[in-house]
Amino acid sequence: MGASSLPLSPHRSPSRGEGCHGLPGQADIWYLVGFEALVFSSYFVVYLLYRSWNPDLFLQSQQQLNQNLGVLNTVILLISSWLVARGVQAAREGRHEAAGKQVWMAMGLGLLFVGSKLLEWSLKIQAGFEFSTNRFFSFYYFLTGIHVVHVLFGFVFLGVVLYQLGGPRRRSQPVIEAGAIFWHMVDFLWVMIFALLYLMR
Amino acid sequence: MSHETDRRLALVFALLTGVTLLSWWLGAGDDRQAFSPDAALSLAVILMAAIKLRMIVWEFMELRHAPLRVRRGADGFLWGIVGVMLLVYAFGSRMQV
Repeated sequence: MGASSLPLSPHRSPSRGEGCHGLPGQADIWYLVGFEALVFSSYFVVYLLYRSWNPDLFLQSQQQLNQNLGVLNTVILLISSWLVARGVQAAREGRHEAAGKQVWMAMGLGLLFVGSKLLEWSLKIQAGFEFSTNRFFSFYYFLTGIHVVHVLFGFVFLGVVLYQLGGPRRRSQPVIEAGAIFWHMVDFLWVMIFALLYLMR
Repeated sequence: MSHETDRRLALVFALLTGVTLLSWWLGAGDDRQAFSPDAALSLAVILMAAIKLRMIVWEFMELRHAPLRVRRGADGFLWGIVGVMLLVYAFGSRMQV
């Protein structure tokens, strides 16, 4: 990754919306990210604990999931995160219209993600795998469900970003960056959920 | 867009997608054959997810510009949790109450 080998005081463009903490965005959004990371980490540890107590059941149930759909979900969110990161950069350079376009496209992909999850759930339920079928499916619906709730919150954050990009008087680079940071968090939470539910054995 | 930033973001996206496809190939490569427990595969898949997660936080969320102590804290948190997850995967069955 090499990120930690970067100089300790990297070049900072004057337009980067840093608060007094030297963090991108606002300090508050990082507290939220830290809190969410802690909450989801505890879900993941509990999931792995139950999994280790009944590995056969979890393996058999995991086999019922569609890995291809899972990887498609991941790529959809990665593209949307990339677009949002490009949008933040465009906003920083004063190209607000271009930034707005990237954020709209990212929201479209977010919608596609939610749609694909609804489709996946309905296919699973039709095939007879419900929340109460077994412990794996309880975790599956809980983790993917709470994640989709975060995607929906992400739409609110990106909505605020779009609103801010829309008019010169209401623009605040730290707020735009904070909205983007929330969206990226939704992305990285999915990355770990994908590995734990769909891929690991 | 500044050319350098544009290229860096595109490279990060390409790497993230590449690692995703690699973990997909590892995890779903046997094409719906009977799943069997596989510690090496699980270790690889969880570590690749952690590396992807760190790339997203460092590059897209721009934590690489944060002060050193914040970056150290974030790294400590990430690798600490990954360590706990791997320990639970390996030894969780002995913790049954």
